[in-house]
Amino acid sequence: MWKKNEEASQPGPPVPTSAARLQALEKASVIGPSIRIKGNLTGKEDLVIQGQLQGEVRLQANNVTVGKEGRIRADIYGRTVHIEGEVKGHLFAEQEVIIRASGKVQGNIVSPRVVLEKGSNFKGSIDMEPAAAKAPEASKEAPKEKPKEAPKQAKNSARATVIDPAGAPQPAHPIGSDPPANTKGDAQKSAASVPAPAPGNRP
Amino acid sequence: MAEKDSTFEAATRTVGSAGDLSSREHPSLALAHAIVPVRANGGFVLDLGPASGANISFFAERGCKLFIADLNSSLFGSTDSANRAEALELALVRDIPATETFDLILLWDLLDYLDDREIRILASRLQAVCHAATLLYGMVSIRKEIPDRPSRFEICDVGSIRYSPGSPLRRPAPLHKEPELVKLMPDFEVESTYLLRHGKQEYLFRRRRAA
Repeated sequence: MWKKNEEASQPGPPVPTSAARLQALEKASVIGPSIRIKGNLTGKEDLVIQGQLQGEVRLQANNVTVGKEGRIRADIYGRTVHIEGEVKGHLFAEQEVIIRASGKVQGNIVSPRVVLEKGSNFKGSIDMEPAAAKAPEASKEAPKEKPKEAPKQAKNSARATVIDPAGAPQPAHPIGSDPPANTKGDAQKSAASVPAPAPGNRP
Repeated sequence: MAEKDSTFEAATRTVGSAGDLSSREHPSLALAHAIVPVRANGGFVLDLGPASGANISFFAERGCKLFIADLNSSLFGSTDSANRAEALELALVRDIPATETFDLILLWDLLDYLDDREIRILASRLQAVCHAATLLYGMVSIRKEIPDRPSRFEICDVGSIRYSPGSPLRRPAPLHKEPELVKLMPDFEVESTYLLRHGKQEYLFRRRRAA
């Protein structure tokens, strides 16, 4: 996972769980593997879910971790969302969503930063526009601050990468240039290029 | 008449140790052409292969939204071939939103792993999520053997893709020809096709224009 453009070309050792994160996990509240919850979870502390939950998890200012034994059928809102277990639901993160190698997610992700470890399983859409990363406020809660406008450079700062637990993280690809005007190839092109089509009509 | 550029040297490198499961980077010619209209239209891409951080990054950097359907895991995990057509129909309904239309659909090498009936089912479902300018990108093998499972593809840049074989085992390739594919996908026509030295033929399909 890369935070800045200039780091994109610097390979490094595998990204382990940081000491800060380990500390945070130790302080987090834990829902154990034998616990089953049906309902909405809200709060103001970090949470690790190892049990089964059906409903909604709304901890926008905190870190939410679905452990390896966690089985979730819910939308999850968090500052960071880490998935090691199974989730059927959408993930909304203010900062990042990380799906670990053991993670399995079926649902959409809205987050400015998304990391998929090799071996992870994901189906759904990924929207990395930071403006969309703000979770909709619950109707009964007054918003504490207005959503900020997404900066214009936000798209370029979005990064996703694959972390191979056995090796170095693969660098995120630099912002691509336009396709080459003349591509020499070993190909035999059997049909002439057609002009760029007019935008289609989308319902 | 197709032209052949003899000055191009195949840019194929082996990454990692040699072996049946080593990933290799290969050139792509179709992808660059597929990307241009996607960017022009705002960019909603449907990836029928497994999720890849590299592909997410590639499309995110171009302002495109990516939808991952990962048909590979639905069809080639525990499903036996006898029930695969039913599994495909179920996966297409469950994993591809019916209310969206996409600008680019990535088939990767899926066509090499579906029989005629399954290709018809796939094409029929995909035409419902295409608009007039949607492109379908896919590739077929022109070599006699292919890995027993679909490969994993990671876009390195607009001109190259890294292939990771899905299995060390091999099976005979169906050797699809263009007229055959067009017959199995009657709602689509071939926009362009590229024959590559490493044994793949890339296709860009477009929804057939109304007569």
